[in-house]
Amino acid sequence: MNRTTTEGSGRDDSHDWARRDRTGLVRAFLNTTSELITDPGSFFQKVNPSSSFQGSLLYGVIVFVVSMLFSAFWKTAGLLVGIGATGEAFSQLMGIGAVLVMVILSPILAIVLIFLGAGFFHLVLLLFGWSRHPFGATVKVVSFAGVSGLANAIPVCGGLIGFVWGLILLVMGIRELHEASTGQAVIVALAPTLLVLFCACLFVTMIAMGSVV
Amino acid sequence: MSSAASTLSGLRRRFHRDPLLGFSLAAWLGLPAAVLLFRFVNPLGLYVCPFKASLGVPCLSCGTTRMLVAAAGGDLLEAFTYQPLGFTIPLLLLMYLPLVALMPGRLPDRPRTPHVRAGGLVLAAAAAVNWTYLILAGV
Repeated sequence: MNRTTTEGSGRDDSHDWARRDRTGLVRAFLNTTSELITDPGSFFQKVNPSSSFQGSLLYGVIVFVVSMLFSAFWKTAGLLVGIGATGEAFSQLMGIGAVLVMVILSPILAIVLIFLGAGFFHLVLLLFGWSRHPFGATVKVVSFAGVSGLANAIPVCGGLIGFVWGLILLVMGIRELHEASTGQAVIVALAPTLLVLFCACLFVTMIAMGSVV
Repeated sequence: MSSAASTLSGLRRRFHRDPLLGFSLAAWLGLPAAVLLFRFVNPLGLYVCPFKASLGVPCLSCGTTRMLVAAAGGDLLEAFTYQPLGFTIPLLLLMYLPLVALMPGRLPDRPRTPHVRAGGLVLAAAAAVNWTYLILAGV
């Protein structure tokens, strides 16, 4: 049973995924994915930041598993034709036992990554005092932004496209669900990248100063 | 029975507000999954840290893979010596979920901005101490 109640947010969940009990899971999934691709801003405006996040978590898990299958397909295809990550180490990693375990574990991995990602972004929002809605709203943003993983269906450059698309979806989602400005949403979405850049700057500074040999 | 139901109901409500509970659930799901995965895959030697390779000193997260493999093998003390902070944080997160369940209403219902800022400073200090240890121990 989907909860589409409004708890002080001023809007109901009026997107297709919230109506999946009536429209059917496959149709709701396709409609939601289509809307997230064509008009993500409008989609996030239909999401209630205060209702239960279980439904959106289910969507996030499904898109993660599908994108992992795409990714595994291209990696295996690359291995067969001798491009991409090859060699003994990769063959060892992609042994049949490992593949089976990874397929079984992928929904768990999806939940883990969604909670870790949402937790990180929400802590950044809290750090700057920009959080207008509870943690559940951030879980929804990260779950729906996971649709960008479907870019893995594109060989070679799918990962890069997915990364950029994911950032755009995160910005739109945070802006709409936490009622943040676009600038604030960009800072939050780029926080992990900025952290890596900070470490890289530290790295370059250490080399330049010759503080370690 | 009603007590268990009310605890579950309280946890569900809290999940919606508390990102630390999300981290805790991730630890409860992710750590057993990692242990199971490392029974089938040996990731040691698959990846070389570029920081350590170029500078000769470990980075902040060096030792994490070895820590997970040692923990998967049941050697918790060895796991701790590879990455003390990386070992301690998931342990604290594992404890957070039962703590919240056992002490309803005793902890703040969600972290607020001052908590996050103070926690960030503590974490940064712990990371600095941990990094010093990794460099001195030659992990």
